[in-house]
Amino acid sequence: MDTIAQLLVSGLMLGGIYAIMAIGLTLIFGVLKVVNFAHGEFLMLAMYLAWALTSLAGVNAYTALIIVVPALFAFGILIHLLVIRRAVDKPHLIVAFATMGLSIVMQNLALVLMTADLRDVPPLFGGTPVRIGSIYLRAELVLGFFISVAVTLALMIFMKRSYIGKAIRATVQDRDAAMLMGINVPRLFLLTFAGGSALVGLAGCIMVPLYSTFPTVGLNFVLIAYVIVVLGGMGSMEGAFLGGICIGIVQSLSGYYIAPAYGQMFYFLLFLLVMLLRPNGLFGQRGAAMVGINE
Amino acid sequence: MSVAPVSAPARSWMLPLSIAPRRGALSIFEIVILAACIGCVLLVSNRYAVDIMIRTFLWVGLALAWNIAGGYAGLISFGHAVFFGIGAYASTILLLSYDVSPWLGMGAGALLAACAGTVLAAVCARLRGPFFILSTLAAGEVTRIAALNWRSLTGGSEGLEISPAAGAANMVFESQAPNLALVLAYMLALFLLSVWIEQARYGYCLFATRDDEDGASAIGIDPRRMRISAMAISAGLTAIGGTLYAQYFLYLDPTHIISPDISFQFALICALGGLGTASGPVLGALVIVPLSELLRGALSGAASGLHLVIYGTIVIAVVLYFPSGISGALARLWTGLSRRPAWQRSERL
Repeated sequence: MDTIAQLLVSGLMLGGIYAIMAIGLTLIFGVLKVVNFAHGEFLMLAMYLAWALTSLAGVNAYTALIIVVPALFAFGILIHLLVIRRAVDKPHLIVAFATMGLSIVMQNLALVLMTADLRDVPPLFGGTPVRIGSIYLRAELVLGFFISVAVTLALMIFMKRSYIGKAIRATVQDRDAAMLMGINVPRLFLLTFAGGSALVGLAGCIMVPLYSTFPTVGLNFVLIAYVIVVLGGMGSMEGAFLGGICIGIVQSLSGYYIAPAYGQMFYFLLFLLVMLLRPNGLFGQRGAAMVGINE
Repeated sequence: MSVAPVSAPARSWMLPLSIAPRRGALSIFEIVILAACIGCVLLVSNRYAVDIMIRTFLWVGLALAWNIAGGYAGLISFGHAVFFGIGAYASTILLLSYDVSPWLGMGAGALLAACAGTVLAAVCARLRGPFFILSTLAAGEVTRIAALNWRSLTGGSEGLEISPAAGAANMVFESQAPNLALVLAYMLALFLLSVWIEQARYGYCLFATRDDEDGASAIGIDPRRMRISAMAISAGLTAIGGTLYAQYFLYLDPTHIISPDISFQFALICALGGLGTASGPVLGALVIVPLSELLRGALSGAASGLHLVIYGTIVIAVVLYFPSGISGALARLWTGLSRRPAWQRSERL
């Protein structure tokens, strides 16, 4: 019983952290209707930045947020202007190939500049775990989870209340109608892409204390993020958050009861199953997967 | 209501000829390039150069195989490493455990991969655009992890080493020449097949399905059948390339064979060369594979990975500024900027 509780809680927390990364991806997908194949490399960049700030400037990963998140926002603007903007109205595979090229460039630049060494930051709070009843959790995991939940809630309120949030939701629903209603869609694209990138910056800071940083660190997490986004329905924030928690729990349970290596396979199978049975995800737009995007 | 069938040009035993690359025709341009490849095979004997040639020709063939699904049928697959892996592992396992000649193993692998392709295409038949791409990527990961953990079959991460006696029956050769001849034959066969498909009724049905599914079904084409068959053919042909790879490199491990990197390579070569034309994958692979091998050789001392930075930059630039790839750019150069040829218009996916 204790084991199950332990697994469920740590899966939940892990899922919350995955969700923050997936929300960035799902926002970009919902608004721009493109898949950013370099999303994992954005995470890698954020993790390296956070690592550099902690090990060189001596601040902790959570303080580094203040610099990393705006930096990734700026990086998102740059990439949008250089690459995404030119490809967004073309067939979807142009964006797929362009962002894939970007991912290769970023991964290998990191390899050239930082070498393949694993980078770690020292544990916070002397590595003492948090204890709730009989459940022990890493302090970084708990802190990361609460930051994710707070940010997700803030984002949801922002999407519901603010003008930009409403404009984003309108564009997700119908780009052409949104444009006719006077929404500056190209600028919204820029803002969403940069915002999604900033969220990855946040995810990077949360993940740096939990995982080692290396040039291909993004690939594994981005695959998880795709699964979450599809599970939750592309473009749905609530879906991404719940999907993230599902994946976290699946990973933690299957990692214990089956084998960590098969745990990964498990959520890819889950992904294919969702695609087969409910291609729009659990909360997604109806028919999105069948109609296709930009065709 | 009677419906006119999709009309294909009049049948003849010879493929039509043209000067610049054109869909459904054998162009003088392509013949010159392929003749130059054969010329290189006959003239060059430097070991390093021959090794690069083998890799390049193999990738030309593999990219052409991918192009049947990705280019002609519009099924952008980022999971073709699965079929490549099935081909490589099927023949190798049959050879190592059951002493079956790779010549037979190649056929077995192709059949198995065609079945896998059928299943994948059938499962993903409803999905479009990014959803299809991501599903094929997930299928690739499932296969990689399964192969990595199914140790009794694949040897897991330690991999499989092929070390039988050299001989034609085992498809293992002392010198590089027979391997070079094999990949050259693979490349030429796939090229001719691609050109044949382009001008055959089957090809027209694929293009119709890709460009306008509703229109295609309105004139009596079954889009589902088209998609599944294109994927199966593409998968089977990819598997043959997998066997050739295994028999040349004589070592397999899941992390390298069924990796997303290999899957991306298929798609990126075609994107560079030009999607949906027979000359595209040929040009893409002939440019990018030797270039990245040479860059790797030249830059490995300075910094590993730098050659891939250049590779990625080229990909971004070509995709953004020449969406129809090298082959499209060349064709445009030939016909002049004002007159856009018909085959290029229908190339939009």
